[in-house]
Amino acid sequence: MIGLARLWRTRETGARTLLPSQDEREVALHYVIGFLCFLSCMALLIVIASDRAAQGWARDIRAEVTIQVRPTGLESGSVAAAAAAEVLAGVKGVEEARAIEPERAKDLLKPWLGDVVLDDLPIPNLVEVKLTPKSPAKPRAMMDALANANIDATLDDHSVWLKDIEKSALIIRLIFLGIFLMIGSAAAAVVAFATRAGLAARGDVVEVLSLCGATDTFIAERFQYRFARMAFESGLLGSAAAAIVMALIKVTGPSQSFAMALPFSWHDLLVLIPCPVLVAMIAMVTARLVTLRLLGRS
Amino acid sequence: MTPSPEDSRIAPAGNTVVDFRDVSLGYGNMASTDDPLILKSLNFQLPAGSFHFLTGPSGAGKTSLLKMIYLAQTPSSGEIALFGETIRPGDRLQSATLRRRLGIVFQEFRLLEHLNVFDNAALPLVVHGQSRKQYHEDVSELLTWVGLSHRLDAMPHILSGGEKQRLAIARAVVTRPTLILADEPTGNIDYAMGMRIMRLFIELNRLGATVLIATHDESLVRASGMPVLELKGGELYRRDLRTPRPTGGEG
Repeated sequence: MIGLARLWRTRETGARTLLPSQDEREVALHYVIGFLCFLSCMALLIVIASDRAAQGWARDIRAEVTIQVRPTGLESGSVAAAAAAEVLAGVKGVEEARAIEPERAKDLLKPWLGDVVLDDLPIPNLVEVKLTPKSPAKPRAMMDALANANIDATLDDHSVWLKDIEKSALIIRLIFLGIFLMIGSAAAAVVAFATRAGLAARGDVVEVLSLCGATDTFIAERFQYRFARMAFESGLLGSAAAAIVMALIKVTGPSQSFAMALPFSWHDLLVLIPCPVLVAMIAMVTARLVTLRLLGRS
Repeated sequence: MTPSPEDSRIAPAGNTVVDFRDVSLGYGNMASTDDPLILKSLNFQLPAGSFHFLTGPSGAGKTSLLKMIYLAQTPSSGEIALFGETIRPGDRLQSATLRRRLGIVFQEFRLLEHLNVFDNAALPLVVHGQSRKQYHEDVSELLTWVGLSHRLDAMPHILSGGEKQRLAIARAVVTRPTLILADEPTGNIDYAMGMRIMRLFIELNRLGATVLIATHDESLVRASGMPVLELKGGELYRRDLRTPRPTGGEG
C-alpha cells in the first residue's frame, strides 16, 4: 500500500507527465491486459459457481441415505422394507423414510441393466431415507434401531459418491486457480515486455532524467505509474466484460443446462471489484522491478 | 531567478569542486597499447567559485572531458573526485546525488520533445521533488531572463536553434547548481544573446557557482577575460601561458 500512496503523490506533483503520452504499442497492450483480465475474471467466477454446484450436490447427497433390507424367514422383501421404513421414521434426525416399490427400483436400474435382464434378477429391497438437514441422524443410530427391530439391513450413506464429488470439485478449483495464476503471470510478462520496450523507446527521456539527477527509483516510479494506470483501465474494461457475460448466463440460465453446472449468483459480481486493482498492482510491481533491473545494468 | 549567496548548495570558496587524478580516456581496449588515448593522464582541479573556458580543436576531447565530469563516461584509468567525493564507477545512487549539484548544457540540447518550454525548464526541479507551486515563479522569471517568456507553452520542435539553446541553458541553471558545465552554450545564438547568456554564467559564478564552458567561440573567450584550459593532443594546457605545458596540479 506504500507503493500506491507514493504513486498518487507522484500524480499530485505532476511528475507523471515526464514520460511521453501513450503510443500505438500501448493501445495493443491495453487490449491484451483487458482480455487477460476478462479471462481471469471468468476463471474466478467459474471457480465460485462450480464450488457452489459441488456444495449443493454434496448437500443433497448428505441429506439422503439408502437402506437395503434383506428379508428374514417367510416375510416378503416388500414387507421387510416397509417395516424398516417404519422403524427408521422413528429415529431422531430422520425426516422421512419410504420403502421403494419394486417397480420403481426396476425403473431406477433399467438405465444400467436393461429390460430383459431385470426380469431374471432379484431386485434389492430398498428404503429411501431423507434426513433432517440441520441435525441428520447418524448411520450408527439408524443401524442400531434396525438391529433392535431384528431387521437385517445395510446402509449406504453415498459416501463414495460424496468423495467423488468433493474430489472433482477440488480438482476443478485447482485447475481454475492454476489458470488464474497463469493469466496473472502472463499479464506480468506482458507488462515486463512492454516496460523493456518503453525503456528502449524512451531511452532519451530516461537519460535526460538521469542526467538531471533522477535516481533509478524516481525513473521506475514514472514507469510504474504509467503501467499501473493503464492496467487499471484495461482491468476495469475486462472485469466489466466478464460481469456482462456472467449476467447473460444468469439471465438466460433457466433455459440452459449449464445453469445447473454453473449456478451463478449476483453476489459473485462483488469478487470482480478488486480485479482491476489487482492487475494494476501486478503491473506496478512488474514495471518497477523491470525498470530498476534494466537501469541497474546500464 | 534570484540565486542566493547563502545557498547551502554553493560550495565555499577554497574547496576543490573537480579533481582529476591521472585520468586517461581511450575508446578501445586499454590492455592493448595500440589503442590511442583521447585524454592522457590529466591532473587538474577546479576550485570552488572558479570560472574556466575549455577550448581545443574539434575531436580534442572537450565533450568527453565534460562527460566524465557529469558522470556519463567512465575514465579508462585514474580517479575523479567531485565536491571532494571520489567517484565510484557503477554507483548509480552516488551519480544521481552528485548530478543534482550539476547544471549541464548539452551541445545537442537534449530537450524533452513532449514537454513545453516551461516544463522543460522546470524538469530538474521536478526531479528534485519540488511542486509546481514551489517553482512556478522562479522558472517564469528565469525564462523571462533568457528571452523565452512569450514561449512558455510552446513545444520544443517549433523553437529556433537559438531558442532551444536558451531553454537548455535555463534548464541547466534553474536549480542554482554548484557546478555548471556547458558544451558550446552559445553555438546557436547571436553575439548579443551570447553575451547576455555569458553574463548569466558570470553572475552565477559571482554568486559562488563553479563554471566550466567548452567553446569554440574565440571572441567570447577574449571578451570574458576568464582563464582558459586548452586540450591539445590529449593533454590539458593553460592557455594564458606563453609556452604550453601539461598541467600537473593546475589550480
